[in-house]
Amino acid sequence: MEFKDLISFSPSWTNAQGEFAEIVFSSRVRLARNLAQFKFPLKAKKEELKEIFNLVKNCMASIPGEKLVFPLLSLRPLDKEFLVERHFISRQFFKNRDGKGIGIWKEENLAIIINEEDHLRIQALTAGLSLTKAHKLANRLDNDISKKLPYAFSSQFGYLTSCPTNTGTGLRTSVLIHLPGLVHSGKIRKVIERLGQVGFSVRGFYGEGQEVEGNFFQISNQTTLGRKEEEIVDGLHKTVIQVVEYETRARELLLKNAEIQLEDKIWRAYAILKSARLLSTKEFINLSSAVRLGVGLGILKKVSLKTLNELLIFTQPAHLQKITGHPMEPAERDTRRASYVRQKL
Amino acid sequence: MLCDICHKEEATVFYSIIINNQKTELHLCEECAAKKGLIKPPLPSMFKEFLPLMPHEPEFEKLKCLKCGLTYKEFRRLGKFGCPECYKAFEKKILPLLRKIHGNTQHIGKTTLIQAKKYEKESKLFELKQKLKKAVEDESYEEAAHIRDEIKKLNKHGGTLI
Repeated sequence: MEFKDLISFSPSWTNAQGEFAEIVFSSRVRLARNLAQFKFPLKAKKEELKEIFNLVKNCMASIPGEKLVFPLLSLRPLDKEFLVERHFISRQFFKNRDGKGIGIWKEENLAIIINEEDHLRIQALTAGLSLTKAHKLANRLDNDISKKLPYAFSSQFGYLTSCPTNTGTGLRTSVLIHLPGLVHSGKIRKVIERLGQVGFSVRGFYGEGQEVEGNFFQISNQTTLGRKEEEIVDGLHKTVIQVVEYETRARELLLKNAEIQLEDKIWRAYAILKSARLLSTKEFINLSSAVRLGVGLGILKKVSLKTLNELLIFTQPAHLQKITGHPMEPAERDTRRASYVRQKL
Repeated sequence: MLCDICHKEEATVFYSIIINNQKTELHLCEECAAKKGLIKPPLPSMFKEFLPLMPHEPEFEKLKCLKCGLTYKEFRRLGKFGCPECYKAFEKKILPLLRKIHGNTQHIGKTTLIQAKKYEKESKLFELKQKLKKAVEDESYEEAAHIRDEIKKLNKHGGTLI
């Protein structure tokens, strides 16, 4: 497996197989870990960070599964953007590159981010609502690593992390969820407010600091200390089921009160995607949100959720440029995006 | 590629403007791009939301972690620790902070006992070595000898600590 092969696969978390896949796009579990004998990335010297990278790389080699490990310094700008679009890293990761790296398992359900805010960020990403599955994956990898590399851990504070918001379990779990019903009925504010009150944070599609696009939201736990991992994961699972119920009810109500208007919106969105010659990322995301709603409601039967999921990933700027094999200006990308979407639908 | 404006941070926002058919490309870091109004400023990190809850106490700002050199003042500014030892160095200030963030100060989740012991042994050793250094500097040789014995003991039966 090589880096250039990544573009030819669809990540396994886009396969729309998990529970409530028509509403919940994907589930994620992330564990923050640090190696006991080193300073955290904030204070560690270049050489230390490089040593950590090599230790993790060697450790990964002894863990089963086909995978790739590479330093951030080896990547071209387009490859870095590609990894952001693939949800492995955020742009923040590009700063101070020494010793930073990424390990990716072939199915892309598992990854290790090396020397970001913490020495290790173990990430598991699965399709639909499947938080327990994601947690098991991450936990198993964590066990394997902990046998080889001693972590910074105290019996009072648990896993010691760079930022006190991750101390304890180091566990952040989240779902990417599509809530057009709640957005259109204006109930989303209330839901977000309520989620905040019970210890969950809600953000836009690409996580921290991004605006909401295509009615996609990310819901995650806020606290990491003083609760067991299973309790944190189960807490989010139960909450998401409730949000799914609210969303389903909102969709039913929309159908009841404005069926023809809703159907019109869905069919128009589908028609534009099927025939447009120019599509910007934003327009695509918003139209595909309406089409996704149509698929979820059983109005559009010709389109599969899997296709829609893959389109959301593969129509992003760096993906399009990697598929085409050469850099493109935004205008050229819009043409290429439109033809890619027409071909897939 | 570094930011065209501050020349310090990595450029992550690429922006091109066309004036009279002349194209100018700008490569900016997120902060400078936000200042120019090209992107929305990044949301404050979760930690910063808790900062106002931490009272400003100048007497604590001199606190310093002996292992990595991070001062409490820096910690307040950055919201990040420099090494695992910082948790001990700033312990008094961290307990109330953790309670505010998590509503809790005691970990009850996954534990790798061997690791906990190993870490705590290393941490204790570090602490003793610091004490030893100070004792020697203060010429309290009796105390220094006592600490040396403790270090020896710990190295011998490290596993039985806690």
